[in-house]
Parts: sequence; structure tokens; C-alpha cells
Amino acid sequence: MERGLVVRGLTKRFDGKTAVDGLDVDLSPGETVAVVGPNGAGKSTTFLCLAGLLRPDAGTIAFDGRPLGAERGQTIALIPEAPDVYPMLTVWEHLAFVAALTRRPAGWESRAESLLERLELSGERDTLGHALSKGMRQKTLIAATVLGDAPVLLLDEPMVGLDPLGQRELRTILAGLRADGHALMFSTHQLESAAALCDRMLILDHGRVVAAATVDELRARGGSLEDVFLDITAT
Amino acid sequence: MNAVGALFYGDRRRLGNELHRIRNDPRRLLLWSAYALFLLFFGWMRVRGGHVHDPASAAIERGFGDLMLCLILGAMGAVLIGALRSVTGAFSSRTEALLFARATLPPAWIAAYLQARNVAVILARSLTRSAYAVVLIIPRGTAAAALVAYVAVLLCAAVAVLSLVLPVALARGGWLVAARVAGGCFIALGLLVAVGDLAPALGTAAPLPAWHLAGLIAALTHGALWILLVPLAIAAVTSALFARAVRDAIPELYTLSIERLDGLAQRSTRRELPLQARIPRGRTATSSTAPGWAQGTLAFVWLDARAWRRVGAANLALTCGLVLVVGAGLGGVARQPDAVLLMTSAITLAMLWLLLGSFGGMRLTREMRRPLFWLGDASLTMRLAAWAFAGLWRDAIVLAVGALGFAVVASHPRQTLDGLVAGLGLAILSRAIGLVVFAILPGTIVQTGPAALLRTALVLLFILPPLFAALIVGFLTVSALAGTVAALLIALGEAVLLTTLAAWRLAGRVDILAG
Repeated sequence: MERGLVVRGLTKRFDGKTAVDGLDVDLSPGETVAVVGPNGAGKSTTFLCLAGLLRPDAGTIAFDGRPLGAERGQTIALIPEAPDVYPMLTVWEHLAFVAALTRRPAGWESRAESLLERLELSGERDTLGHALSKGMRQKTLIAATVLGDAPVLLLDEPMVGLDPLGQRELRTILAGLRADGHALMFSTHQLESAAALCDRMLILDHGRVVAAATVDELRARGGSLEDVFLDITAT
Repeated sequence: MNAVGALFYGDRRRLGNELHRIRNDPRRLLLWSAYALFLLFFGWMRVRGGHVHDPASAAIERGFGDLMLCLILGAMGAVLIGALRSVTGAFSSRTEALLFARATLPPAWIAAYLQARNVAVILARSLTRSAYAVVLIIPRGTAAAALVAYVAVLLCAAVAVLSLVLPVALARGGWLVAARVAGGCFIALGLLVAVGDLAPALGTAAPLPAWHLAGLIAALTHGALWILLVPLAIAAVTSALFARAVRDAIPELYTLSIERLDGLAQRSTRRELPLQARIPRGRTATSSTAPGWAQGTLAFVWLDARAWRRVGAANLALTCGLVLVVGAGLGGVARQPDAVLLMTSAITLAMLWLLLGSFGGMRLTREMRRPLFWLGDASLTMRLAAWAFAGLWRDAIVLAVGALGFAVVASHPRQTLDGLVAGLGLAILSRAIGLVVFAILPGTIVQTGPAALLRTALVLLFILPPLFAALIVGFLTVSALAGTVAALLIALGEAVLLTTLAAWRLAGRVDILAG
């Protein structure tokens, strides 16, 4: 049995145009994969399909050998590029809502408290969503996602809109989640920043995986990561 | 927490926090309190003095009941053919869709909850937009019990109609075809009821036996509560079948919500663009090749037309068909010797048109983010005028189609021309007032309630000078057309003054657009 997330032949079309074309992805527990590609390469569509918000036209998704159907959102959690939290819910109420929807067992509160502590959100516990910065909103959704016990986390363009300090904090948080055994996949356009965080890189172009390798393997092709990326996506 | 409690938790807490915020700043309720007081006052004005028992009042009450029935049937038909698809938003945000996708609750429970919430949200939104209209159009002398019965019937019928919005939006293939056919049947039935009601006045045979909602209202005031149970049962059965059928429809519900969510996101970004959206007091400095206000108006018309492409050919054809039938109906009335009936019918139609137009409000905020608004060296007043009156082409089409129906049946070119000119003047005045109301009350939510009421009230006020001008000039020249043209000129003058007032109010006041 193959552990972790296994995606085979994922395909999604919109009005006859293929956005994701037979995508194969493997993601092991504790592994971090960066998905890079030009605009319109199919990164966000892939994430939406995996998280259960778009219905794929073809392909299979399995986790730990178990095929995932419509309920795959319980296993694969997505944090969107625009972390639009509820404006009129506090940080704590977001966590309570997730705990209720995912039927967390009694005692979830202590776990939530420790998550807030770890993400340096304790001071914002009772702050309403509309008063949170983008970084805070992102942290709130990360806390809610981790509280819901999803073993696979997808982050769509997580670094966009964050200041350097926020980016550093996010990298620390993601490293912590990886250490806890979460499988992480994030999309980005910041190649060097991604290289510092991921175990492998997946380069998408026109909905297809055109390269899948470790950062060192990509660098070995010669030139900077940017040169390699442009070279691969230009062909 | 049980499944139902879990589903309601988010909305319950959001409501609680909103109430808490209002308690800390009660001024936020000031405008809405005034709106509620107005509704109560006019409601009381309508029912004070009790019910009047005379044949004329009975006929008006019966006509009003039938109008309501026609509107309910028409709304049911419009929803079934998918007219409300664009306002359907199962999820309030992308994140909410993600949270529900992760829920470990039974899918049928989630579907039922989203359906119930969708009905409640659209109903609340519709109520804020139309509550004043209901109070305004209820005939004077209506008994208090009848008023309560009218409101109860409208609410229950609205629940039944709105329970179809989400199922129709998700319907595909044969179900979609069946829904559209049923929708067409409901609209046809509504028209038959209307024609049946007008038949005696037109001197023709009614296509259907008289079917008056007033009878149902009377029965309801005497305790026949089953009348309310019928629409509620329709809503319950529709919702239950929907919840059972859709099961894992979160991807479809998400896709359905995306368009509306994107629109909301566009509006919310205005708060992040205060400097770009600043309105200069004077002229904007541009090159000499920049378009003037005339080209600007054409550009706005083009943009407006592009935006209205989304309405779709089927909806456009349906609207034109309805307007044609209404125009023909009015033409039939014009063939009768009863001039009072013609005037009453024309004024009723004009009022309905104004009420429907005021529901949407006029929002300039989005336009101000478009570079087009700032191109050219025209003054702010000219730019506002270009924007506000660019949508007149739609009014002109409605008027032209209605006039065509009228002309064919009435065979009276002079009356047709008078009606066209008067309608155009009314449309111009209504748009200018919409602009000035936006300048006074720019808040998005306010636009749906108090601002709509203010807009209607101002139209009724500003329509008086053109009306008097028409009467005086018509009397002096013994020419109805001269009177109508005089009214149009006065309306144009008022529109210029109102646009100037709006420009003065908006100039350099970007802060008022953040509401």
C-alpha cells in the first residue's frame, strides 16, 4: 500500500479547454512539494480539484491506499490565496466552528489554545476577522485546518501579500507542520523562497507536469532556478 | 454540539457579534429605524378608519389581490426559467465552501441547511428592497386583518418561490427543460389572470373564470390558515427533495457561488483604493486627444450594453414579450371610452416601473475605479451625467416595445407619442434622482432599503412640477403634445439641477463612498 496522497490522471476541462491534463502527483507524509508554473498553468485548478471544490473530469485521488471521493475535503485541506475569513467571527469562533463541523472530540479547546500559542495568535483570540491582517487571517485558517486534523495541506500562493517578517513566520509554521507529519503542497512564483522550503518541485505548464525533481536535481541542469524554470516552460 | 447546532454555529455567532457591534454604536441603526418607522406609519395610515364597504373599494381591493397573484405567478415562472440564477450564492465566501467541504456531517443536512439559508438570505434582501413598496401600494381602507393577511400570503409565497432558486440553478438536462417549461406555464397563467381581470373593462370575454386572491385573503382573515400551509408545503417538499437529490453537490454549489463572490470581492476592494478613487473638484488634466463627454457617454452606453449581455437572449425576449403584452393591454384600455380607467392604469404602470427601478439603486463606486470614468477633460457634472444617462437606452427599449404594443391595439398615434415622451421624461428624472440619492446615501446596504424609499419619494415630489406644467400648457394651447413636451423640458431642467447637486455633493468627498 502506497502511503500518503496519490493522484493519477487528474483532468479538468472548462468549456472544452483543458486546465489540468492527466496530472500525476505523489505526496508522502512529512513531505513538502512546491508547485510552480506560469500563470494559467493549472496550479489553482489542481488544488481546487484536490480539495473537493471542483469536480474533476477524470482521474483518481487516494490517501494511504484508500480512494477518496466527494468527502476528500476531510483529508485534503486547502488554504486559498485570499484567506477570506468571516469578518464577523473572532479567531476563536473560527476554530470553534471548524471543531463543530468536523465533530472534534471533547477537549479540542486545549489543542486549539496550544495552536494559537504556537502560531502567536493568542493575543488575537477575540479579534473579529475584519480586523485581522492578511498574515493573521492566514494563520487563523492554518490553525483551523490543523485543528480539523487534515493530514494533507494545500496552500495556494501563501507568500503573496505577506511582508518579509510574515513570510519568515509562515516558513517557520510550515516547517513545524512538516515536522508534525503533515504532507504539504504549496504553489508559488517565488522560486528561491520555495527552494528553501520544499523537498521537491513540480513544474506545471498547460496543465501538465513538465518537470518533477528535487531542488538539487533542478539546479544540476545548470544556471539558476529561474533559468531552469524558464528553459523548461519555454519548450 | 449536534449536527444542526454545528451548521448554525457560524451564522448564530456572526449575528450575535453584529448585534453586539450595534449595541456599542446604536447610530448604525438610525437610518433603518427611520425606515421601519415610515413603514409602520404608512401601514397605519392605510388601515386607520377601518374597512370601507362600497363597490369602488371592493373593486380596487379585488384588483390589488389579482395584481399580487399575477406577481406571485410571474415570480414563480421567472425563478423556474432561471432568472434569479445570478443572485444565488450558496456560500458566503471561498473559505466557507472549504469549511463545508471538510465537514463530517451528513451531506443531506448540509444541502438542506444551505437551501434554508439561501431562501432566508434572498428573502431578507428582497424584504429590505420591497417592504416600502408593499406598504405604498396597499389600497387605502384595507382592514388591519387584511393587511396582515396580505403580508403573510406574500411572505409564504416568497418562501415557496425562493425555495426553487437553488434547485433550478443546479438543474441540468431534462430537469432544466422541465423547469423552463413549467416556468413558461406559470407566466402564461399569470398573464391569463391579468387579462381575465381586465376583460370586463376591455369589453371582451375573459379567457379564464374570475379567480380573485381577494377571496383567499378574506378566507384567511376568517381563520383559513391552510392557505398559508400550501406555499409552505411546496417549500418544504422542494427543499427535502433537493437535499435528498444533491448529496455531494459542493463543487457545483461552489462554482455557482464563484461569480457572485467575485462580484462582491470587486466591490470590497474599493476600501483599499481610496486615493485612486479620489474625485477631483475641478477638471482632470488630460491630453487634448482625450475623448470628450459625448464620446464618454457613448463609451458608457457600450459598457452598459456589454454588462447587460449577461441577461441572456431568453430573458430579454421574455421581458420584451411581457412589456409588449402590457402595452397591448393598455392599448385595449385606451379603446374604451373610460378616460379615468386609462389614466389609472397608466399611473399604476408608471408607479410599478418606478418601484422596480428603485430596487436596484444607482451605485457609482465601481465606475469610479474604471479609467474610463477619468478620461477626457469634461467636468465632474458632465461625467456623472454621461454615466447616469448612459443606461437610458434600456428604458428607451422598454418604452418603445410597450409603445409598439399600445399603438397596435389602440391605433392612436398621438396618445402613443404622448406616452413615449412622458415615459422618457420620467426615466430621465428617475435616473437623476437615483444619482442624487447615491450622493446622499452611498452605502451599499442602505441603497436597498432607505435609499430606495427616498428615491421613490423624491420622484413623486419632483414629478409634480412637470405635471403642473403639462396641465397648464396643455390647457392654454389645447394640445396634449405641447403639454407633454413642456413637462419633458421641465423634467430635463430638474435633471440638470439634480446632477449638478450630486456633483457638488460628491466632489472631493471620497470618504462618503466607503460606506
